[in-house]
Amino acid sequence: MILVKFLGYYSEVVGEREIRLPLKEVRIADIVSKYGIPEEEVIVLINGRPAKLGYKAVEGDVVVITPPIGGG
Amino acid sequence: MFYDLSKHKARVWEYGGEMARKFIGGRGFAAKILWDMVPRGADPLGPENKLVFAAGPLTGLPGPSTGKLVIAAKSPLTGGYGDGNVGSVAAVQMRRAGFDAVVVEGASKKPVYLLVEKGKAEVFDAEDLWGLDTFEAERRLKEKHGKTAGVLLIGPAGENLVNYAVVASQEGRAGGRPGMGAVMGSKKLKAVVFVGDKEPEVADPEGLRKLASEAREDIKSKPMYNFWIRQGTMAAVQWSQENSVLPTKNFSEGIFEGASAVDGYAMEKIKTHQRGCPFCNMPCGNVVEDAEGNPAELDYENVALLGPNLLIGDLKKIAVLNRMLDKLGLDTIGAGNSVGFAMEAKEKGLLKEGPEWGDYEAVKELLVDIAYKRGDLGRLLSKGVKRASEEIGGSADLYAVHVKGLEVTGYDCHAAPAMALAYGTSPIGAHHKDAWIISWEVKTDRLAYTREKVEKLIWMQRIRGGIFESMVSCRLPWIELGFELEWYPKLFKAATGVSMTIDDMFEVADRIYTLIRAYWVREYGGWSREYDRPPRKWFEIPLSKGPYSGAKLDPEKYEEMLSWYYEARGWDERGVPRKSTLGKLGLGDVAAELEKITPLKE
Repeated sequence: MILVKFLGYYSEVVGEREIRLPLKEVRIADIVSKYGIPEEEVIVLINGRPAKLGYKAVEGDVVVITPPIGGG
Repeated sequence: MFYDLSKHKARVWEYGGEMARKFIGGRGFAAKILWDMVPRGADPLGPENKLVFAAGPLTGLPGPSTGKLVIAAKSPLTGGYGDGNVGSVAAVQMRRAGFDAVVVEGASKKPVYLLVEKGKAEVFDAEDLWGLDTFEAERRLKEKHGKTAGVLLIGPAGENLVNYAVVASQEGRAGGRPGMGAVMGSKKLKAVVFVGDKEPEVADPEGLRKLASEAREDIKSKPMYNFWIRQGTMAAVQWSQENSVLPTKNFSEGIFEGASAVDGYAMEKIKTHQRGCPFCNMPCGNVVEDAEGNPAELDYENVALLGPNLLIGDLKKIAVLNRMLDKLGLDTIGAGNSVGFAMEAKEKGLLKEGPEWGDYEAVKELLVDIAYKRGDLGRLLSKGVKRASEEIGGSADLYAVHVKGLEVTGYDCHAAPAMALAYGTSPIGAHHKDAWIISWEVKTDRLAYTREKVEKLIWMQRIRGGIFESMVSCRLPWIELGFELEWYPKLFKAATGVSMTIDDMFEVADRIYTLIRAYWVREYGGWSREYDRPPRKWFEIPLSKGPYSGAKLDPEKYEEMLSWYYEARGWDERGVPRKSTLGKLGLGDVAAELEKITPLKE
């Protein structure tokens, strides 16, 4: 199981704040494209560390997919 | 308009086109006025200091979130250049009263307030307002001068000259973290009330109205718009938590166990309504019902510094503290940071008495003590963490999280070197206003110390601290929703009739930054790189929790980035502007003055 959290307005794009994928592994790019999230701006973390679209998350990972924020 | 409170005299100064072209307005005007007109070594709380309220060419006109104003003075907290920005009807009314800036000089012997109305200024007795909190005082002033009057005022913290007292407005807006409220209090000035009746002169009124309308539509069409309206800056709580930058336990950690109880979703559950600045269609003033049943306007910064930073995890209680500080006219960031310092100093045995981590009731009392400089700890903390740590001595400065005496805001930088540099080089001391670079830093190469990061930082400073603080107009449409920068030369042209490209505006921004740096060098009698360094804590005590456990900043690598920063700005290895840079920026007169203080390199 892979937990994927969608931060900010991505939660509206996806329709969920988080989803649990019943998979042993998944390519980040596949998650992003499946949910129609704009690739250019996306920031990805796997277990809190930066990841890129080509990375794979594996069983037990926590993936965070977030838009950039402006920091106020 | 200059109003001298000592002499009770007003004079109107028609600044020429050259000043406008060189400095644009807002922060640019403030820096120029403070450099030219406040004598070197002036006591920030004395009559020689000037309190500058400065608008810019876009302020108060139809346009994207243009209801913003810069408030500046020599800072009692840092001893250097200080400014803040507040979103208020006052910005609009000042321009409608006929002024682009109002400068208060001298000091009154008794409490007064200044009314700036239809081209004139008048002083009124404020004995019956002195001592009132900002909400009550504003209410009374509006009863007298009309509901649409713009009011900027201080609370007890400003009256008591607390070093991080702010200027407040509209029950929840505030600005001037480096003690602009204290400067106002030192002049016995309770409030400035603006009442205007004339639309400011605009070069192309039809063109501007059309642009403003198109801008409004464009902003509403942005993909992030809806979520922004829902959570505003509070969305940053979850973002910071996931990225290990949420300031926790006096900036000891970047993650907080109870983050989900104080994030944007938690805020939405208790949100009652929304407030915004004039001319803004993406309001971020989210009002919640606090633990005492009162309306409190919450922001990320308030929550981060009064919540996780103090290990307080109850959002409704944090809201009580926030509202209380708004009424007292005390900076929530400075206060939260100071209390966090006290908690850690107590824990480490450097203070005999102090609040325990997470002790909401103790914090509530302590914040009032700070505002009234009551009790040993209240008095100590009212000076700010830098002076407080110096007074305590020993290793206390290890726990003082500030730059140049201004307390760090809501982002822990153990694992964010570019953001640490942003704090180190912000022109008023530690603030994220000028550059918030963490998103980009995370996306590219989080832990690296690169030249690219320095270039990106300066680019951000030019826009956030330069363009937006001189126009004066809110940076959030651009930075939060992606409203394109290219709109601003168009808006500027319609408002003023003058063509300026983004690069032209960058040149003005560079001039402003170097002038502000010159001001610091003059007032400090020289300069050292150490003033441009982030807090010791980030270098010496690593994170111990979360995915970045063990992370800390590298001092040598930081110095390398700082050197690249100086190089890019045209400053020497001390951080002092070079003669050639001052010349290139049309600040030759500044060079002549500065040379008397310290030798200038070519």
